[in-house]
Amino acid sequence: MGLDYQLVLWNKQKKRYDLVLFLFIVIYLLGFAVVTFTTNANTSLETLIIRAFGSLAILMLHIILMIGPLTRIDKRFMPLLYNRRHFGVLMFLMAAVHGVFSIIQFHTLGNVNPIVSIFTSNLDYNSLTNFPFQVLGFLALIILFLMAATSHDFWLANLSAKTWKALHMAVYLAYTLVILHIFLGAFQQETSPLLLGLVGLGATIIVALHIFAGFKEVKVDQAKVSEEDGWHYVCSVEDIKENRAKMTTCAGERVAIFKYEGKLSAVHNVCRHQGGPLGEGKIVDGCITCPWHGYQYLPGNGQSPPPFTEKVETYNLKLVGNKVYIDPKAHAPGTPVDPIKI
Amino acid sequence: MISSQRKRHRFIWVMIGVLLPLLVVLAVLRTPSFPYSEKAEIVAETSLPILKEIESDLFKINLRGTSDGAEELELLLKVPLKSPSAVVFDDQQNVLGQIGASGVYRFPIRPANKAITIKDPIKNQIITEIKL
Repeated sequence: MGLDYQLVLWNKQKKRYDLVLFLFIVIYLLGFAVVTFTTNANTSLETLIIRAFGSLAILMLHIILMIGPLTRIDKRFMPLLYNRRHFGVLMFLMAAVHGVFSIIQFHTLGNVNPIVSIFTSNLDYNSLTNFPFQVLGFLALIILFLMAATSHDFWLANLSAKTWKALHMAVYLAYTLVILHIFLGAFQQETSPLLLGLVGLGATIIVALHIFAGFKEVKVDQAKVSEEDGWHYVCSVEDIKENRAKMTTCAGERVAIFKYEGKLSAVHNVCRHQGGPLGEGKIVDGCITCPWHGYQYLPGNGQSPPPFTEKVETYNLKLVGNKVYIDPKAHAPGTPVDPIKI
Repeated sequence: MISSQRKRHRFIWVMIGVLLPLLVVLAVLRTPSFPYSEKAEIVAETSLPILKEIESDLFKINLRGTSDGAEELELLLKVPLKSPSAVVFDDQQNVLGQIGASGVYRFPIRPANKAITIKDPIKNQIITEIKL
């Protein structure tokens, strides 16, 4: 967390993450160039750039889209999520190189504005075989640009979390457009079964992971809870580790119950920053700390310590013997609730 | 994610899971059958004599072959085309090959071939037609 907006709040993990990304990009591009010139020495530089950067962007987009569901399925993938924004911005830059070189090569030599040319040079919108696939790629690039441009916390704070999240969920539309851009474009001329199979496999894995992770969470949401006078039974005190949380579901929402300093407190599980799972974080310096980006909240009132202003909903708890119960009705974000003593 | 976002995610991915494979399968089924690598093998070297020459501002075309007829189309592209994505077809709309940067391209052709067409497959436009 920081008081002022900075371009990047660098730390050791981010530097390591970005170094790995940078090396991956360099190795991929060099490898692509070597393989291309080895197998087809007549390939022009423009074609090489368009293909290398386009395929790299697609590969990166697949990895990015796998990270979310993988972390929901297995927490060991969590480190990949930590700096996903840099991954996304880099992916956009790779896609932009592909897009800009394609526009220069295919649309700048005529007497029509290159952007107009993308939409009007082929008007065969009714045909699947001759569909103007570049339009699909261009629209996907616009979405990726909007996402990259608004990826900074400044925009998250100023657009509101709801708008920001809705905008960034457009990546799924961008992904669909990209896959159609490939199949209706490059694959209409390049019919290598290997490439076709690889992209098909990638799309299958992405869709399957998201659907699997989504329906896995349905089970958690619909898990039956035993109820006593409107209070939901959660667990016994011993089931919660010190400075950690136990998660439960109240009225479809996830709630994290933290044990710390001989006390218990419950807050809504979703961090106001980017929706990180607070219940997978821990208490650091007396504050619940989000595992994604380190945003902090006081367990007794769900408020970020001053001067920060983020707030999450709080819940009443009661202890009967060593059994922990929760009132499923949430208090307004930031409402103080006395922690129960163990 | 909050509950409504989780539901929206599930809905979006189920929709993508249904629609995307459908469109992809349709696209694959309708892929034109002109595998460049098999039909349009470019002839790298040639020793065949020139039977006919055609020249324009853009091209110089040499038809090479034997007394039985032309066997190779040698296309010297003088300057890069305004449509850099260009495919050469014979008079029966078989793909001969793809041309891009200026240089020499050689393609095997049928002796009875009467013309070639150069098309831009991205813009779906005919760039030029040349009678041989």
